[in-house]
Amino acid sequence: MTSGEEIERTFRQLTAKTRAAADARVLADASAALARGSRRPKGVFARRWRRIGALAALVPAAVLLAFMSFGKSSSIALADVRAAVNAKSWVHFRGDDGSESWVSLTDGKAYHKGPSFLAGKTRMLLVDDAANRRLSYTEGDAAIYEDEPTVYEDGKVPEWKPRTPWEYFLGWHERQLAHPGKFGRTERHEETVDGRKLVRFDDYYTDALGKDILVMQIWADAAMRLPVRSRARRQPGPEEKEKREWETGVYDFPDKGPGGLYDLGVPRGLSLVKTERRYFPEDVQALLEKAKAARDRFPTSYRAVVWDNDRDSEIDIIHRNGLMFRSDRYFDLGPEAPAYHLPRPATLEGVLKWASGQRPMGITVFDGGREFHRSNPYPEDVPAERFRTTTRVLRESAEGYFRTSGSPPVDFQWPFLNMGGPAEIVLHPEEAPAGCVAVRFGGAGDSRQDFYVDPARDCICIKSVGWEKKDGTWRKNGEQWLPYLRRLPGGQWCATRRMQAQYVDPEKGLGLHANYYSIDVKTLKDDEFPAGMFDGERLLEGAGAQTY
Amino acid sequence: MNDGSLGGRPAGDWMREDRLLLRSLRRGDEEALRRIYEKYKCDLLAVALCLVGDLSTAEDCLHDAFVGFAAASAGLSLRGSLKGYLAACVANRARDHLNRNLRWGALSEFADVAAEDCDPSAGAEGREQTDRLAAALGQLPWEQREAVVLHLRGGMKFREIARQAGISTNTVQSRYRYGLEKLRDLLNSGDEK
Repeated sequence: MTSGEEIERTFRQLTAKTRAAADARVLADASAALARGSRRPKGVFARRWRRIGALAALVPAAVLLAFMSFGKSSSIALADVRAAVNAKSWVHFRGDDGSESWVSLTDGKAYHKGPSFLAGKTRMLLVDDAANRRLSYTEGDAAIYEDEPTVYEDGKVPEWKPRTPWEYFLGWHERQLAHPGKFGRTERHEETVDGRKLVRFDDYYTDALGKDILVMQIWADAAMRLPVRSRARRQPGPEEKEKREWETGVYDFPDKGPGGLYDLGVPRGLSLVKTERRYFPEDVQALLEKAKAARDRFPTSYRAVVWDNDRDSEIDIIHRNGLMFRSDRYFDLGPEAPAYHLPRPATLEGVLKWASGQRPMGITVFDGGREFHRSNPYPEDVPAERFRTTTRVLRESAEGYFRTSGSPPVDFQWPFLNMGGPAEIVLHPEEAPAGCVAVRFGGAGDSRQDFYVDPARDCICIKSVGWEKKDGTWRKNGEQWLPYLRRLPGGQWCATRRMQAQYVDPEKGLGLHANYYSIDVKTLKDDEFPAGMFDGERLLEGAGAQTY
Repeated sequence: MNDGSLGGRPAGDWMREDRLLLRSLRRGDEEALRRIYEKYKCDLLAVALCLVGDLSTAEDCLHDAFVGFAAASAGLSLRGSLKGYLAACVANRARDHLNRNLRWGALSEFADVAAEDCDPSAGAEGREQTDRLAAALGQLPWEQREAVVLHLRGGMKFREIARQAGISTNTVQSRYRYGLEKLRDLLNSGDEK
């Protein structure tokens, strides 16, 4: 007779061991998925955009490659090759990561198809320099997105003129060679590969600590006036985990390139979503201007402390003094690690006292021109992974830094100021808190964000709701509330509590996850900031530096 | 089943370590990913084997579940245990595999694997018992099999299974009870033969 207890015992004996080959497959694929799925901050995304642009700019010069790739000798007469190349108007670049780019030298259109930041997805781009437009589509998107255009100093888009491969791909390097920039320079070298003389342009970037870093190389046949091969250093970040420091690629010169994004595999019938702010309706523009003015009135010298008063979570202590900023992030390791645990509920004084005896896990300092970010390892007596202490240093303008990064509570209070379109004021919104105006961003595709803004209180976003469309139905995926506000001594409104909720797909086994944060803001005078608090160089002590 | 210890270490240690590993994973730490895999791979493979009855398919389930977990880790926020979450992921993949008309594999390969890696003290009698249990599992309806396996082999509490499956705790308990009764009947009928 088999009892329930015997069945339970037998279940415990059902042990299995994975096979080495299966382990290797799982870990390889999961690591790649991890790298692709890692979230990137906006700044990195923007840099990646620029890099794609640069890559696209490099690509067109590769036309000649077909004739002069490494390791092959050609019996074709130089004049014949040159004539053949000059007759071509397309340049194709194939990268070693599987990406491809095409550039039309006659009309300035560049197409790119390659791995997306999203796991296992492909991204397609069209960069039209002549029209100053950029269209993008990522596999699975419900729409094609038109990105913000390049902003030129005089407000005019330069006239596009057909170029030779040399002008398009090597011209910038030659100019940089003759006139080094403030943070970059180019060297020219000659080398012989398989009996063929090539020139190589090496581009150096002077990093935030003054060190020259080789960031790009391009080889070209000066006699043929054509690019051959290029390689570009990858940005730090998730790529580090792939152990690939460089992206390389070669050029060839097809007779024809893509006729549009659809030729790259973008599905037909999708709507075009314009994210440019110039398309915002007047009422949205007016609201944004009013909110921006309120944000600009918010104090720029203060200390903010943000902590979850219900559960062990991260604790942030932020200081801003004008164009200098510092954030110290602590992790409460929970009641199982009492030495690193902050019992809840906790008062402001309790949080500050606890933090004074802890080592922050992350420290970010912006000194007005550079951002330093130091990652510290977990405490030694906590059984955790082997972490290195590193400090990443990046150069950034103050205007750009505070526009994109924000700092609590500013980023909580006016999150909609960095949003792209389309945008509209929603009339008679169902969920609006009393007195709030609803402004909606997105919605043409499969996601949208609704912000409920209180015009009477500095246009602060009292509530925001994120939506996603699945199987034709809109459903919430996240929500934020700032239920309590108070006035600072200068009269500005400031949030004192923040509720953040995340709705996760039940099919994935996750439900609502909510945090309730307390926020304390205290305005400070210059002499009230601890000495040396904004000295980023201090964060380099005992840490490995990453500067690119 | 949930005796508060795992591998000789207090459950609190393991959960604390899981929390730290998850934090690291959210930052894209590959080492944390490896640690989590090494920590739970055998348990998860056993869960998958119990659910699909075929080693290759079970390995596929484990692979797909873990790759999906890695891809979604940046935005992951857990309410229950990491092990329970991963076991539920494996169960979801197993259901997908079976829905794609992959039949129950009768656990013949499970027996081979188990024979190699079971506790040696279990002996031949123990292995015979696991073989019979494995064969009986294949005769349970999916819902009952899932409830029984996730609770007894995945170490998940009923409310955890209910939350992951989006159903009530009572429903999970019912499925578990019916499943266990049927298993007992099947095994006892084998005894009588």
